[in-house]
Amino acid sequence: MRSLSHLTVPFLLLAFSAYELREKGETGMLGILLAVAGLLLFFTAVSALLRWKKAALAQEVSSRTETWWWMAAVFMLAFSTHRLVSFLFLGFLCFSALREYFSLLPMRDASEGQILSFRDRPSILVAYCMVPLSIYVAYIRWYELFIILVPVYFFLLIPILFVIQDRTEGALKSMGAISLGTLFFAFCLGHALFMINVGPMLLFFCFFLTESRDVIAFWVGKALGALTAALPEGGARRLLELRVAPTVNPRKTWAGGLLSALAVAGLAVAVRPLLPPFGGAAATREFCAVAGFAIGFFGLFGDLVFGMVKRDIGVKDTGSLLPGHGGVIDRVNGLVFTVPLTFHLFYWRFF
Amino acid sequence: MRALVHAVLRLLLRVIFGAAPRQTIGDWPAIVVANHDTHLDVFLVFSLFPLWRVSRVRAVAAADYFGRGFLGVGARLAFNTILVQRASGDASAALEPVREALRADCSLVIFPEGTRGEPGVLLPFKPGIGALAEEFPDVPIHPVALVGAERALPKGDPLPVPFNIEIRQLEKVYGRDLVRRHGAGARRAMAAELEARIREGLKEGEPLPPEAPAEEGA
Repeated sequence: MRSLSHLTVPFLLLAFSAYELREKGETGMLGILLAVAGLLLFFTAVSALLRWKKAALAQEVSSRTETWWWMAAVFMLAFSTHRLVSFLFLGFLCFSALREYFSLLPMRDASEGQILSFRDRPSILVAYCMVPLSIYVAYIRWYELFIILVPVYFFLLIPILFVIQDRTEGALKSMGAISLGTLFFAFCLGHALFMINVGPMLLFFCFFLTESRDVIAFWVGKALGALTAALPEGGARRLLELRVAPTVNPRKTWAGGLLSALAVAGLAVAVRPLLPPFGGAAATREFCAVAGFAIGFFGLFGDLVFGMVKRDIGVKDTGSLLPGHGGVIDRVNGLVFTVPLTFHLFYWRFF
Repeated sequence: MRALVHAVLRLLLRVIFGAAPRQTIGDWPAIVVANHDTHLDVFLVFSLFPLWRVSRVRAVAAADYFGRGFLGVGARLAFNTILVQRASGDASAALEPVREALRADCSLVIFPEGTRGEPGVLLPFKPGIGALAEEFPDVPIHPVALVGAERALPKGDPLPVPFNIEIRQLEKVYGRDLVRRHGAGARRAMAAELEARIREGLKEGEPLPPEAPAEEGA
């Protein structure tokens, strides 16, 4: 029941979008919305069934379905109402991910050698401020500033703040952690904000493929696992078992990653008709395949990179507290890599 | 009116700090005890009560700090504060207004540390909570561990910064059970038990799984 009550808000948003679209007479978009809603209802039913049967995958399926509900709601709102709505939604996503990142890092007094110290709080507040600032700059379509705001000006502002605080101890560690998180979540993930200007459909293309990659990778991994087990000892088996980073995640193999990326490339070509022409030129099939492959390949690293970060924190301080049950980072980790990549591929090709 | 203010406060807590209780407290009256690190704590604990009952929940506050000025008026309007004299010598007399409120069918919010203290450090609980548990054996005491609030607004720093805050609701205790375990009159031991429960609740993190999550195979 709890999982269903979580879905009320996205459901209401979808209903509102449907109403708006009907009022505006955009029947084509309304058709897509209804199809998506139907599909989501089906998956919600499946996840409820799995939960009821206490299947092993129940948690996974229901959390993914919830993510999809939200994605659909945000996109449909973006289509049917003002584009500021999508800016606020995606901005809040960046903010939540950034907040979770800072909350995960252990914080003590500087002398205790933790990653953050209590004196970092003003700088962290400035880091959060980059989100609304990026929203504004993206909203007024000021590309030149958007693209250097965090990596240049925020990056330089933090050391200045540290100097004004007159501190030495742990400064390098703190500055590194703050800049890294802000670059990941306010800048890289924040590219989604500027992508709204390029077109919500491109955003949908990127989000859809990134989320699909996770599902595809799961099944490809299962299939490859079965295949490897059946193979005789030898070169072919060793090649299939070659792992990307055994310490970070023993389950990710190069073979699985590349195969999933190929599958995502195929999916990208399949959803190409949804993409509108950019600047008069439609994306070619080859271009979509390349973009899909890139999303598939780099999406793999989203998972691995944040697995590495979490492991690092865990190893240093196993008793560390993880307040909240956010899990926002777990849901956006692929997007941190795929959103800027997709954005720049399309921006470079068409603008 | 007060309910409206609290509704807005709850929305803010949820959006800025991601803080929302798992479930509201159904018992009435009830005593909520929590660790105290910041001024945010009282907002967080009040969000445990259903909105329509919020005007009958009262926070126990120190008379010397919340008794006067702008802060005092604000606290009284928002949280219906009961002022008690800290370090008055006569502990029993100091508790009298608190007893009064419980008899008048109000629920209470108490921070038995008595003060906010250093960030992340749980101070020993004052015995007053033990006395209340003994005198009102059938009123449930809900221990609550507030995790992460000390980063958001530590004592002595006026700058609030968003961090995830978790409101961990621990198993409720009845005064009668505390009396049975520690014997009548053992106020300090009862307070110490509540303190130990919250200390456990604060520690109880989610340790990293020994192996990578089994969700994906690629």
